[in-house]
Amino acid sequence: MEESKISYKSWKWTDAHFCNLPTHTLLYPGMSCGISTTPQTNVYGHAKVIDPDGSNKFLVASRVGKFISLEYQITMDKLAPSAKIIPFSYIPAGAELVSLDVISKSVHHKRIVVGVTFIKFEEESEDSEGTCKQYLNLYSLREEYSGFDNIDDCFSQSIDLDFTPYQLTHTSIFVAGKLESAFLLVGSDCKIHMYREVSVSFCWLAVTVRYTCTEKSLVHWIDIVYYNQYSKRLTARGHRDGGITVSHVNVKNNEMLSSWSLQHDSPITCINIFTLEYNVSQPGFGNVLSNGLKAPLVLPQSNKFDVPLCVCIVDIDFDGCNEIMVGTYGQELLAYKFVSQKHVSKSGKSSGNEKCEEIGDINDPNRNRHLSDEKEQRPVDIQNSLRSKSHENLNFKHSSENITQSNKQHKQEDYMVKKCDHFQLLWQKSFACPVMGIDRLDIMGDGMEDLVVVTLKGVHIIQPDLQEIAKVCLERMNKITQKRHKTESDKHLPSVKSVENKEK
Amino acid sequence: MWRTVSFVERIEVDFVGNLFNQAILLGDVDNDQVQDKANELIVGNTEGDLHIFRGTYSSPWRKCSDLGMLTCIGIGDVCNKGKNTLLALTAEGWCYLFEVVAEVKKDESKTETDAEDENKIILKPHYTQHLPANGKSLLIADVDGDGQIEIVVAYADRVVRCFRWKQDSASDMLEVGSSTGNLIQISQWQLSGQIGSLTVNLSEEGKPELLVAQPGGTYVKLCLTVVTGGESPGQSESTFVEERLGSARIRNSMITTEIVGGINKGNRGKAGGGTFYALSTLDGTLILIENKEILWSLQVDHQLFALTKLDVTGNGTEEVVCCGWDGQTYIVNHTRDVVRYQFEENVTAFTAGLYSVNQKDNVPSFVYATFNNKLSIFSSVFCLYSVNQKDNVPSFVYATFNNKIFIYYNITLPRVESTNLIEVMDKMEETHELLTKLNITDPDTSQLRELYHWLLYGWKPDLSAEDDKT
Repeated sequence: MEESKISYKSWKWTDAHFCNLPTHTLLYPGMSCGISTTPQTNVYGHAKVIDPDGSNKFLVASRVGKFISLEYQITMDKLAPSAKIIPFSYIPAGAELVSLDVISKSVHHKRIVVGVTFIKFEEESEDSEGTCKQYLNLYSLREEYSGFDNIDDCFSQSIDLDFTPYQLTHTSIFVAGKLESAFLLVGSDCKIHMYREVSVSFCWLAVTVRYTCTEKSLVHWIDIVYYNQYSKRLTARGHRDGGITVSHVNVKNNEMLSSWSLQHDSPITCINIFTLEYNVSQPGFGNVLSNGLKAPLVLPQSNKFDVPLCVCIVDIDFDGCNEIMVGTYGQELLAYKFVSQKHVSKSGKSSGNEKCEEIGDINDPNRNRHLSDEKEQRPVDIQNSLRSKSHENLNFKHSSENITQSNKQHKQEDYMVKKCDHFQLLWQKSFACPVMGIDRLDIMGDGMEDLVVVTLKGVHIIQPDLQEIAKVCLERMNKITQKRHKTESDKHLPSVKSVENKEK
Repeated sequence: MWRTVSFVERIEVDFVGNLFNQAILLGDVDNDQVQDKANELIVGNTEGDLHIFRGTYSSPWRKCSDLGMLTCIGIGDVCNKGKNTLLALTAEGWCYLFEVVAEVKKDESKTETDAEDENKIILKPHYTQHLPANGKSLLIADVDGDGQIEIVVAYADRVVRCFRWKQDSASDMLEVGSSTGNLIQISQWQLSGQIGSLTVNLSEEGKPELLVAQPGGTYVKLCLTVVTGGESPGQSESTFVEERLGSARIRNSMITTEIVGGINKGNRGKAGGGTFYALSTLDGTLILIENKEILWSLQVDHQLFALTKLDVTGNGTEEVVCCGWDGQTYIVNHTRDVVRYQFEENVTAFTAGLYSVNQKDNVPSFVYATFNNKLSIFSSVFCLYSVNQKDNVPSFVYATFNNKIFIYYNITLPRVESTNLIEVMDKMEETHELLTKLNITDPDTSQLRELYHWLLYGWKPDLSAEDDKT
C-alpha cells in the first residue's frame, strides 16, 4: 500500500485534563437529596479567549446557561488546571443557551467582549400559549481585566432578537479605514446579523448585513478569512439544505470578485476555510483558488462514526503542514493528513521531510522553485482539479462528510487509482461522549497548541507526549546552533536573521 | 485543582452475583508466562461461581460453580513448583486449588464438538482442604524471606493464620496434574482490631515484612521467626509489633483501613532499599509511608474502600490507585500529584493491574464492579487497560452492581502530574546548553513560549536541508 511508504511522525495525544460541565440540580435545588444532572452543551457553546500575555482560557457553556472558564495556573510551582464557574448576569433561570462567542483582546480591540444568545421561555398565560423570546447578551470587560474574575464589574447589554439565534461568531471589519471587531449572528430568518460597537458609548448596535442570504435556507455555519493584509476576504457558508456558498470579496471596494456554490444532500454541520501550510511568521496565503468548488477531497472513514459535527485545522505533527481534525457524534476524533504524490516521492529521498513554505519573505525565490518542481511532477489532471495554478493556494474542505457513502467510496477508489493527492487518516481517538467541538489553543502557555475537545458533557484538553515534542525542539535548536556556527564563518543567511529576530 | 482524566476504551463482561473486593483479581492463571505472560481476570461471587475472563470476550473462558461463598481469590506459586496456582477461599473455610492449563492449540479446538467445548470451560479444583472458616483476606507471598511461598489468611475474628504447602513423599511427584500434599498451619496471631487487609512489604534491609491494616488508619507488623533452639525446635514463634504513625488526620479511630505494600520506588529508591506502602481509610484518608515515616497524606471527600498499586505511567515507579464507593478513582504518585477518574456508577469491587486484551500483551487496566438498583444483584465490573508495554498493560477493574463486568483498557498516562513543554524542556540539561549557545540567558516564560512556538510551527525543514548541503 502506498500508505506504508509515507513516513510521518504521529504522536499519541492523551488527555491532559478533563473537566465536566457544572452539574445542574433539576429537582429540589439546594437540598442534598436533589436530583442533579450533568447538562449538555451544543456545537455553538464554546469559545476560546486568547490573551496576548499568554494566559489563554477556554470558555464553555451548558445549555442551561452555566459557564465554565478553563485555564492552567501555576500554584506552588506546580502547573494545575483550574476551572471556574463564571456567573454571567442577566441570564434568567430556565433560559436555554444557544451560542457563545468571545472577542479576545487584540491590537485593534482592547477589551474582552463575550456574546451569549439564549432563548427564554415565557410562562403560559390564559390567553396565549407558551411563547419564547430570544436575546443576545453582550458583556464587555474592562481593559485592565484579562480574565473573568471581575465579571460583575463588566458592562453588559441585552439585545432583543426577533429571530431564533444560531451560530454567533465574530470577524473584523473596516470602518473608516480602521479595523474593528464585530459579532455576526446567524438567524432563523435566513439573515446574518452584524453587531458592531459604537465606540463612544461602548454600545453595540445591529447593522444589517449587506449580503443577506439569497438562498431560502438557514445558515448552519459561517467562516470568514481575510488575507493579503485584510484586502481580500473569503466567506464560506454552510446551509441547512446542504448548500455551500463561498464568496470572494475585495474588501476595499466591497466588490464581489467571485462566488461559488455547491449542493450536498444533507445539512452542513461545519465549514472551514484553511490552508495546507502553517506559517507562523506570516499568516499570509496568496492568490485564491481558481477552480472554485469543483474538486472535493473526501476524508476516508469520516462517514463511519455518525454525523461529523466539527472540524479544526491544526498542525498536530509539527511538520509545518496543517492537518484536519474531525469530531463526530459517534464519539470519535479523527485526524487527517494531506498526502500528495509529491510528498511520497520526496519522503523517500529526504528522510520524511515534508515540503513546506520557506521561512521569512513570502517572495523568496526558493519557494517558487520548490513549487514549480512540484508542478512538473504532478499529473495534469490533479493540477487542474486540486490546486490552483498559483503556488500559494487555498484548499477548501467542503463538508464532504455529507456525501453519501457509495459516492464516497467511489471517489475514494478513484483517488487511489490516480494516486493523486488525498487525505489520509492519521489517527483517531475515542471519547466517552459525542464530540461537539474542537479547537486549538495554547492553554498551558508553553508555545505548543493543545487541542481542546468539547464533548456533550465536558471539555477534554489533550496534548501529545511532551518528551517527544521536547526531542523535536532540541533537535531543531541543535540545527540552529550548528547553522549559526556556519554563518558566523561564512557570513549570514537571511533565514538565520529571522531566527534571531524571533528569539529577540 | 487536581487533574482529571477520562478513560474510554473498555470491555464489558457478564457476571451475576454479589462479590467481595478480595474476590476480584488480575493475574496470570494459566501459566502461559513462558510465551507471553498474558493476564486474566478472575472473579468469584457469593453464590460460589468462579469465572475466568480472557481477552475481549464477554463470556467466561473458564468457570466453576457451587464452590460456596467465595470471599478471597489469590494467585501464586502455592505449591512452590514454579507454577502459578489459583486459590479460592470460601467463608465456610473451604480452600480450593486450581491448576488451570492453557489451551493447547487453537486449530484443535475447531474440530471439537460443542459438548466438548462446553466441558472444556468447566474448571475443577485439583485440591480441596477445609481450613478455619470466615477468612476475609488472603495473601500469597513469601512473608519470611525463606524463598518459600506462604499463604496468609486474615479472619473475621481478628486472627491471622499463616499456612504453607507441604508436599507429600517424592514418589507422588511424578503424578501429573494433581497436587499431593496439604496446607499446614505454621503460625497464628491474635490481633486486637478488625483486620482490613494484608500486605507484604520490603523493609529497608530488603527483607519482606507482613503488614496488617488495623482500624483507624493504623497497621501492625507481624513477625514470623523460626525458633531454632529451645523446647520445640522448628516451631515458629509469632509476635507482632504495633506501629504508630504520627498522623492526626484520622477522624475516626474505628474506621476501616486498607493497606498495600511493596510499592516500587523506581529510581528514587536507589538511596535506600525497600518499598513504600500506603494506607487508606473509608473516611477518605490516603497515606504513603516509607519505613514508618509518612511521606504524604491526602484527605478526600470520598469513601475509599479499595487500595491497589499500579505503574500507570510505565516508568518503573508504581502509583497508588484508590477507589471510592461512588466510583471516584485517585491515581497518586510519590510526589503527591493526583489524577482523578470518575467512574459513572457505584462500585462494589475494584482492582487495578495488568491485563491482556489481545492475549499476547498485558495492558494496565482498572476493573470496576458496580451495583445496580438491587443490592442482591451484582452487575458490572469495569477494567481499564492500556497498551504501552511489551507484555502486560495496566488495567483498572471495577465491579458494579448490575450483572455485568466492564473492562476498561488504555489507561496508561504519560505522567501523573500536569506539565507543559516549558517544564519538560527545563528538566533537560541539553536545553540549557543550547540556550546558552544561542545567547539566550535567563529567558522568561514568554520568551521561551515564543521560541518553542516558533520551533514547532515556524520550522522549515527545507531550510535545514539546504544548510546541510552548504
